[in-house]
Amino acid sequence: MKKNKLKIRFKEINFQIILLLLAVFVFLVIFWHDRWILNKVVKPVSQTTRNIEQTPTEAPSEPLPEEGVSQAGKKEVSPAINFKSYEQERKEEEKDKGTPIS
Amino acid sequence: MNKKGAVLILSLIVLTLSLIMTVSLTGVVSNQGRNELRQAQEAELFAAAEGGIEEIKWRFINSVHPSGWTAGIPQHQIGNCLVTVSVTGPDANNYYLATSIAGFPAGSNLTRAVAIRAIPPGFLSFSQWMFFVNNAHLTIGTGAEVWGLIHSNRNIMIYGPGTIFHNNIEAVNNILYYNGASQSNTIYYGTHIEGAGYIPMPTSSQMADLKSYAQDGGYYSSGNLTVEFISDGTVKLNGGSPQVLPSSGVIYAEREINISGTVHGQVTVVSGRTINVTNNLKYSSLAVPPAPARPDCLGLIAEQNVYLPDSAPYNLEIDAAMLSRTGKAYAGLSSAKGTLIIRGAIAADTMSYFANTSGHGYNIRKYYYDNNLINYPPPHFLPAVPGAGFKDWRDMGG
Repeated sequence: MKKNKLKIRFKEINFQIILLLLAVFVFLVIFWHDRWILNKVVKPVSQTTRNIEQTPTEAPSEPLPEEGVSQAGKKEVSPAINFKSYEQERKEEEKDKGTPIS
Repeated sequence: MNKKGAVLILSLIVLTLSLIMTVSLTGVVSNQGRNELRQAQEAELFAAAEGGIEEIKWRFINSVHPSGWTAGIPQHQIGNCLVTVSVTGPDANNYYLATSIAGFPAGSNLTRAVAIRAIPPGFLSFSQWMFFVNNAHLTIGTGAEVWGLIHSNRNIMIYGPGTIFHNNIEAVNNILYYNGASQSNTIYYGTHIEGAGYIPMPTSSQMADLKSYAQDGGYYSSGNLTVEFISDGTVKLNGGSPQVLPSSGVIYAEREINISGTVHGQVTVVSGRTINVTNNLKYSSLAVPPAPARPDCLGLIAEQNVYLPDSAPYNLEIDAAMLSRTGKAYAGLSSAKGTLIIRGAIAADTMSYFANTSGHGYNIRKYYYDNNLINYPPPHFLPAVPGAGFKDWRDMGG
């Protein structure tokens, strides 16, 4: 009789351990899953959003030619030598133009 | 009473229930994960499709991308997605439809599409009219034949019979006839409207914006500038060695500009004073059909005038959209000349003229509106209508 009681108690303890292990397992599954979502899904999406915000000015597939920018982007054109001005001619023109038509 | 085995049965029941609960919970968690992944993918696809729309809008607005915008954008990567933008149209109201479709390269069949309607940028620009005049009456004389829209913020005055208008003309005030001209002997192939809406000229600050495009990605001169275009797509500035056309599309000089040559590409030349067209100014692609996907175009913007000097050729051809913000486009009238052909557009504050009633100037004048200016106005050509010209944004779903 005493031996049977011990057996039952042992089984109860065994059952509690199994339940505990199950609870730990479930917790680990949930924890791992949340971390997986955080690392694999949420971070890449925010990265993508940043990339897209930059695209309108960068046109990634067909970038704008850089040659003109690097050659003369910030550089002023050298001054004109022997530039022919038509300012005087235009002033004369303004004086006597008849009835102009388009 | 024999209770042997009761605990075992009880344990089995509890264990079974626990197993069912665990499996169910795992299933719920797994499904939730799948749903969250799908939602995240949907968000990613939506953002990528929107990115495609932003790219095509950038090309609509800026008019400087070498591939243009009417052909859309072939499949390319945005973030983790592959995005294709197609452009169809125009519809009956001249709108184009741009549709951006995003998908994943592998591992998912999900797609997302976003669409938007866009009016061609030329309809928002001062390059949309063959003739636009702000602060004067528009005077058209005998011998003129005009292809393209005309707008006057005052009157349109027609001198002499037989003037031909191939497209719609409109005046804020009236259309008037002189020197034997009448409505019956003036040939209208389009509409002619009086009482049209007033359209203001661009502001000086909009002119100043062009300088920044020249200083960052263009060519800038603080003095006078000689511009000679070469048919291979380069340009000589002040007689220097040929350089590629600027990536920003703008060449700017604070003072006068003398300009001539053959343009191959897209460029806008801006003067803080006056632009003198000293010789023929033509596009390289006009003579070579079929026209390229991205047509050549030239914009001339002068704070004051666009001037054709007396020394310009007897017969002169100009391919350009011209804008004189506070002045006019005009020719020296010291002698009688031959034929002037303008393929492009002329917008000016005061009346533009290339001849007079005494027979001086260009006695034959042909004005052809360049229809390419509707889809591809010159880079950063000044806007005539506020707003970006987009409407009907739609999420087309997966």
